Amino acid sequence: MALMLLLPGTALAQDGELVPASDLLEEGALFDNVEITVEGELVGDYGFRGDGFMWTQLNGDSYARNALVDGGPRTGANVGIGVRMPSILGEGLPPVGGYRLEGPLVQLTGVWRYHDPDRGGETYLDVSELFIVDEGRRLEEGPDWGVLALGVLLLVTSLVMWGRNRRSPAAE
Amino acid sequence: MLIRPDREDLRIVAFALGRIFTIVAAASLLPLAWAVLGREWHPFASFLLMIGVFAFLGQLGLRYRPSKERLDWSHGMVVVALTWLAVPAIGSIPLIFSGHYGGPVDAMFDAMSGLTTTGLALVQDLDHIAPSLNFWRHLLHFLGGQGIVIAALVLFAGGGGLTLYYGEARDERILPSVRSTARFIWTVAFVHLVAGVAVLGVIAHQVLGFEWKRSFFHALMIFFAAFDTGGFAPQSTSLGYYHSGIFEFTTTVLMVAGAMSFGLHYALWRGPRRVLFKNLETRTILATVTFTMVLTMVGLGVAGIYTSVQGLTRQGFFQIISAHSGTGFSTLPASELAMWGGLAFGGMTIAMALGGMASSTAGGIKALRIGLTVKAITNQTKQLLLPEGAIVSTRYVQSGRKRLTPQLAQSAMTVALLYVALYLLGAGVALGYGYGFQEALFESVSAGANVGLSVGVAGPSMPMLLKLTYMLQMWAGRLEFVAAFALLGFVYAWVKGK
Amino acid sequence: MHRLQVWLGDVTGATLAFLFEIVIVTGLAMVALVIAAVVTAVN
Repeated sequence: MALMLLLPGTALAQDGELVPASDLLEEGALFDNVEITVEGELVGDYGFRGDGFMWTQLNGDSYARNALVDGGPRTGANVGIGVRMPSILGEGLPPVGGYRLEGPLVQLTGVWRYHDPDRGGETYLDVSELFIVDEGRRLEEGPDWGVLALGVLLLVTSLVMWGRNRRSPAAE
Repeated sequence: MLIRPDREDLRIVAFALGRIFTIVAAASLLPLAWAVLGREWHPFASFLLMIGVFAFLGQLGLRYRPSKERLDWSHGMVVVALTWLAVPAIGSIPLIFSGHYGGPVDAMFDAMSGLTTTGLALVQDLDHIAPSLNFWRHLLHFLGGQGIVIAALVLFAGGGGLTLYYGEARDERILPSVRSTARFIWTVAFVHLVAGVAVLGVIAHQVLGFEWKRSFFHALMIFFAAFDTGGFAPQSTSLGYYHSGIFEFTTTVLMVAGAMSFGLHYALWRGPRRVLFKNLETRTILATVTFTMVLTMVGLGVAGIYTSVQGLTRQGFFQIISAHSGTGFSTLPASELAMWGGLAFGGMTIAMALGGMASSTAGGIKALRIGLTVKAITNQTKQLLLPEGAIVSTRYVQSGRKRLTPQLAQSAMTVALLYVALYLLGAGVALGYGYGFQEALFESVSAGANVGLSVGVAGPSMPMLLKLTYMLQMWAGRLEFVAAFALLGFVYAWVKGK
Repeated sequence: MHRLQVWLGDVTGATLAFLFEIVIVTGLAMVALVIAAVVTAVN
C-alpha cells in the first residue's frame, strides 16, 4: 500500500476512488507517480505504436455521455488527458469517440506520470487496467432544412445576378 | 479640410470586396465537398448557406464596376480592413449552426481567430466536431495567412510593413510584378504543403500508429495551423495530443517556415544564401529567439518544472518557437502554462510580443521593426556620446544596402508602441474583470500578437466585453494598425467630410 | 513549355529550401539543448 498524503478536498487516490480528469489537469504534480483510476470517454484515435503501447485520449467532461448532437448542454471546452496502455488492452475496443460517435466510457487504472523525464517531460496516464463501463454508440445529425433552403435561394439569386452582371455591367 | 470619399471611391471598394467574396465563396466549396464526402449533412447545409451569402454579396459588389479600376493604396487598406471583418462574420455561419458555440459572438470570435491566424478558441466539445467544420476552421488559417501576406506585399510596401512605406520604394517587391510575387508565395506554400503533409502523415501512420485516413487528416490540419502560424488543432489537447518528439520537431520546422518572411524564402531558393545572415531582420530574430529561450529555460529550470535535459529541451524549445513564431500550439494544457511564472513567463510573453518576421503570417511587432528600433536608439546614443560633428553610419542591410532615415525610424517605433499600447489595453480590460496581472497580460499579448497560446482566460465563459476586446486586438494586430486606421479615417471622412 | 520549366525550377528550389529549413531548426534545437544542459547542470 503506497504512502498517501491526505489533503483536504482532494480525492483519495486508491482503488475504488475515481479522480476527475479535471483534477489531473489542474493539480497534475500532486498525483505524480501515484496509482489512480479515472473515468471518461476515449476520443480521437487509437495509436498502436511499434513499442507495444497504444496511445489515446480520455475526456472527463459532460460530453462523454451527454453529446451535443443529442441535445446535451454546452459545458465549456473538453477536459482531456493523454493515456498510454499496453496494446493488448487496447485491442478490440469499441470505435473511438468523434463526430456522431460516442466513444467507449471506460475506467482506467494506472500510474499518473507528470513531466516524465523518460519521455521528454510528457504528462500522461500509464494504464495497467481497463474496464469498459459502456460501449458507446453512433448518433444521428440530419440537415437543417431551413438553412439549406435559404442557402439554395441565395445561390440561385447569385447566379441570376451573375448572368446580369456579365451581360451589362451596371452603372449605378 | 476633410474630403469626403465620393461615389467612385465607394464603387472601387465595393467592387474589390465583390471580387474577394467571390474568391472566398469558391474556396468554401472545399469544406462543402468535404461534408458531402463524409455525408455530414448538417454542416453541409450551413456551408451552403455561407457560400450563398458570400456569392450573393460578391455579385452585389461586382455590379459596381468603377469607371477606372484604379485601386490605390488607401482603397486597398480599407478593403483589407473590411475583408477581415466581413469574412469572419460570414464565415462564422457554419460554426453558429454547429451547436458547438455559445452564441454568434463566440462563433465569430473563432472565425476571426482563424482568419487572423491567432488560434485562441471558444469552441466547445472540439473532440466531437464534424471533420468538415474542423477543416473549415483550419482553412481559415490558410486563407487568412496567405491573404495577409499577399496584401502585405502588395499594399504594405514590399515586405517591411509600414516601416518601408514612408519614403522608401513603395513598389519594392521581391519580384518585378505583383502577379509573379503572388505566384511565388503560392508556390512556396504549395511545396511546404506537399512536403509537410507527406512527412507528418507518414509519421502519424508509422510512428503514432494512426490509420492512413486519420494520419493525413491530422497532417493536413496541423500543416495549415503550423505553416500559417495559426494554432488551431484538430483535438482539444493541441500538440500534446500526439505525444511524439519527432512529430513536434516536424511541426516546428513548419512553424519556423511560416514565421520566415517571403523575402527570406526567396533568398533561400535562389540564393545567395549568405545574404540571410547579413540581413538586419535575420540577425534580430536569431538574437531575440536565443534571448527568450534562455530566459524561459532558466525560468523553468529554476522553478523545477522540468528536471531532465530532454524534458527541458523538448518542452522549452517547442513552446518558445510556438510563442515567437506566433503559432500558438501547446504541448501543455492551459492550466499548466498558467503556472509558468517568473522568468519563464517573461520569456514567453516577450517572445509573443516581439513576433515573427515582417511579411510572413506571424504577428507581433515583428523582427524588422525591432531591429530598426534598436538600431535607431543605438545610433541616437552614439550621436550623443560622440563629439559634435561626428557622423554615425545609418546603413543597414535588408535585401540590399539601405539607410535608416528618421522617417523610417519613426514609423518603426510608432507601430511598435501601438502594439505595446494594444497589449496593455487588453490587459487592462482583463484586470478590470478581476483576472490576475500575469494572466491578463499574457492573454492580451497572445491576442494582439495573433499567437493563440492561452493560460485559460480565453474561454466561452469570458465576459462579453473581454471577448470583444480580444477580437478587436486580433483584428488590429493582424492589420498592423495601418489598415484599421485607414478604415476609421475613411468612415470618419465619409461622415464628417465635405 | 517554358512556363513548366520555370515552375519545375521553382519547385526544386523550394524543396531544397525546405531541407535547408530543417537544418536551421536543427541548429536552433541544438542551441536549446546546450542551454537546457547548462541550466540543468547548474541547478
